[in-house]
Amino acid sequence: MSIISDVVETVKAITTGLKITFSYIPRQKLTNCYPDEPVEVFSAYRGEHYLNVDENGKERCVACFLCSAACPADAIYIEAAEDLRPYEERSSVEERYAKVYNIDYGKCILCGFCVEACPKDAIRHGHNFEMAVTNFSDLIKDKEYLLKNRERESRLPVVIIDEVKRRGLSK
Amino acid sequence: MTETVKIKVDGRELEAPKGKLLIEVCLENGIDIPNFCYYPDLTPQAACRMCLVRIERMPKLATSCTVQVQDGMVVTTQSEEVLEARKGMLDLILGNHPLDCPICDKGGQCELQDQVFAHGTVYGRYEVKKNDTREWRLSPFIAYDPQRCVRCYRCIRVCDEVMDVHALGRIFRGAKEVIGPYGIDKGYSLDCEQCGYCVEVCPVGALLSVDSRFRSRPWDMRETITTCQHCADGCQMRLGTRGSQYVRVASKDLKGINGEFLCIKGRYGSSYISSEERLDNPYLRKDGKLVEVGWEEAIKYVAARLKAISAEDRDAVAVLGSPRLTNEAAFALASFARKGLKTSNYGQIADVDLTRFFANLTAPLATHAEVKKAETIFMLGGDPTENNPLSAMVIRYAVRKNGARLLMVNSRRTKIARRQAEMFLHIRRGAEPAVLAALIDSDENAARYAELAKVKPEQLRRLGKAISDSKRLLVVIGPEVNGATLEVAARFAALLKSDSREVKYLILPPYNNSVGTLDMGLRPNGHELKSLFGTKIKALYLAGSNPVEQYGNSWKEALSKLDLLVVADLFMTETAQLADVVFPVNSFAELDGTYTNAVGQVQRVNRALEGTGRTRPDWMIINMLAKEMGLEFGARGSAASIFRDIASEIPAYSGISYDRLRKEWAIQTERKISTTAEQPDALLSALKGEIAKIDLSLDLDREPVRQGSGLFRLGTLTSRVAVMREAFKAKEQVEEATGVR
Ligand code: SF4
Ligand code: SF4
Ligand code: SF4
Ligand code: SF4
Ligand code: SF4
Ligand code: FES
Repeated sequence: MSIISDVVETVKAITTGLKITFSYIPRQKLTNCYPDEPVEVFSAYRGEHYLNVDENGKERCVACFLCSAACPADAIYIEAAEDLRPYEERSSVEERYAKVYNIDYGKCILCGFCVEACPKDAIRHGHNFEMAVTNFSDLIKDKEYLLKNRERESRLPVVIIDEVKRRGLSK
Repeated sequence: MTETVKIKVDGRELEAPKGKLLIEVCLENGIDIPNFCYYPDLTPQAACRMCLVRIERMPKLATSCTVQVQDGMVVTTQSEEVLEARKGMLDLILGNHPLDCPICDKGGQCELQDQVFAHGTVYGRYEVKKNDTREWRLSPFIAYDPQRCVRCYRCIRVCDEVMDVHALGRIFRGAKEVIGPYGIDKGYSLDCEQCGYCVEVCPVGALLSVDSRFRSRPWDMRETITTCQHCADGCQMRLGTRGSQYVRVASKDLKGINGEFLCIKGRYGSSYISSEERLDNPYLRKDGKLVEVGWEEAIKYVAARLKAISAEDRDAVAVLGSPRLTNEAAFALASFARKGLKTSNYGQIADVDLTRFFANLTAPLATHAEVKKAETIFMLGGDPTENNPLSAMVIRYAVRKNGARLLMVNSRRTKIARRQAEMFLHIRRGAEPAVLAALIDSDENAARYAELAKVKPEQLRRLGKAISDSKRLLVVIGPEVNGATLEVAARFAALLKSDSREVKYLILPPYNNSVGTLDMGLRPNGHELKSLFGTKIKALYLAGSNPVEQYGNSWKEALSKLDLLVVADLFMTETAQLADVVFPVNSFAELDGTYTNAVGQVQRVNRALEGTGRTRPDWMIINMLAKEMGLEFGARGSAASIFRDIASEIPAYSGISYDRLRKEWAIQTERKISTTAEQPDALLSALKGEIAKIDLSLDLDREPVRQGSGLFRLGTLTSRVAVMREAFKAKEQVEEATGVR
């Protein structure tokens, strides 16, 4: 083996490597400069939940407990109550409503079973993933928080992409 | 013996007693036949037509809930035709069903949901506008949603036949038909015993309990089988709890002594366990005021005071329990008093001295199941409908199903007297001894007894004859029968027993553990001890009793004469307010233990809730006190080990253990039965004094007993049940305003 052949081999290897490196530079970036730039998430992304309301702003949840029954992590706690006032005066769609509705994000695995189970379209996944807290008990989110999450959706630092369109699957 | 017949169902050979309903034979043999209107022990209705089956040689599908099995019957329950018929029936029901399962309290244990899943179609085949009707509150306890009703009429039948209240009916006809009290369209509400049996049997969420409205879902609560703590019948019930909260009481599918029966108190009278008013810390009187303190301070204080008082005179310390305590608590209390404090002044506050009954017993106690089979029932006093509802139910059952003869002697026109009695001797108040004497004495004196009791001699003779004609006799003794009369009543059976006649007793004590606490050694001497307060007795430890509320001022005065009053209770009762120290105790839902019911059956109380951790079971408080005082009385560290002591020390309880109770639910204790042949003269002379006490100026009580006079009474516990308090207050107000009772 001569020194020359060593040099040639090394230069070859470096060139191969740098070729790949330089070829990626002009390509589209896969990483984001989060938090300086918004993150792209798919529309079906299962982020922090929000509680839905109907067209008049009445809570859709009737406290049927089906989400909590479906939850594999036992993360949802509900207390039902009765509001016999007419629809216009009460805050919920039905006379039965959730007095307490807590999701414990210390337990939740964001599986989506609760959304699937809900017969009233009252709970949905939002796109928020910024759920870190410094105090463990802050992971339990109550009804007020989850209802507000719906409005928060529009202010999230995310760009929601419709995967159907993106993959060119729409007709 | 009834003849057995052979039938063939889906190719399987089955044997069954002739005349049994086909559906029952199938269900017993594990052949599923869907049904709504069939219900055991109720008259067949054939309203829902879910139970259709093909029976050979019958022109059409037949309703198996009305067909009685015959020899050689060949039945098909699984053919295409039958399955299609089931689908069709469910479609018809769902055609007008709201399907609002998410907000329906029945969701999760609804027979309609189950049937549709098992036998229905995936998509409904009717698309018509549904009858949109609103829910009604039939009473403060019961709500009705007409849309969900499948018109099975179980509710109506159970109310008519089992409860004999006849409060529900069918209102309107055809598609508009609803269930309710007559006049519901005019705003009348359900005026009944509020037992909730109709809610229990309703297969769907049409009839609902208001008290447990929306509180939980069946899968989300924990159900614990325990024993009712209201009356001496001791019904078994399922106590539903969620977290640390009471949810509801139900009896469904429970194989207890009561089947599915519960009365208003059993079903709706337990929510006090989650009442805000529950005591949560010991209280100690400081500067004339009760203030919350820690356990240690309270125990130390009581121990020191008791020790000082007891050192002067042991008998100066009295211990009184209550007929509501568990056997374990009563046993610990009695042992503490007897062996620890060594005082002779201990017992319980009770109106009827049942020790006289048990000491002289000459025939066994009948269980509720045996009452159902009685052939002749002789009732001396008592109003079980209001005070011992399960006993009333089984007595009604004996009359309804087995045609038992009911012979009633009572000074009041009770419901049973009005409706079930074949013979009703309406007697002068307090004249029970005269009737008993007339049954023992020779015929010559009948006229005298008749005059005393204000009945005709002929009536007494007919009563005597009916009793002597009987084959299986049940003697029911009400709480009016007291003192020597009670003793004679217990010895009376010895005269009646013969080879051809079986005699059994049923007594009707007032409280859930009246019998058990007696067995544990708490004698009913509270009223006697009261007269010694302030003189001989200086200190009193009172567990679970509220005599001030029950007996009023005489007790209040007596208690105020004491140097030290310690009360252990659930609430700051009228009595506790007078105390120097109040200990917060666990309710029956937070305890393990046993009760002994009126018929002597031991049943378990199971812990359903954790409690706050700052209350204690009665026996544990006693242990703490004894330890602090340095007394040794054989304290035990758990209910189970106390019960082992009970089983080894009290003969009637020997052989009973928690293990056995878990398997057998209710075990009847064996009572000593005296076998000496009684002389009528001895019984008569024992009655003499009581007969002399009959007050001839008293007349008959002609007013019929008002529905709810016992059932709807607010006591220490029931007044802490929100729904009861509101309902009964409202009722009282109406009665006061209208003057109609
Ligand atoms: S997403 Fe899954 S784990 Fe989270 S609350 Fe819903 S069902 Fe439970
Ligand atoms: S009665 Fe049964 S099927 Fe009907 S709404 Fe209630 S749970 Fe659903
Ligand atoms: S609560 Fe009892 S008494 Fe009243 S209607 Fe129902 S079954 Fe009849
Ligand atoms: S209310 Fe219930 S029990 Fe009564 S008829 Fe309707 S479905 Fe049957
Ligand atoms: S009959 Fe007596 S034991 Fe049974 S539920 Fe009623 S109060 Fe309780
Ligand atoms: S169960 Fe037979 S017709 Fe209803």
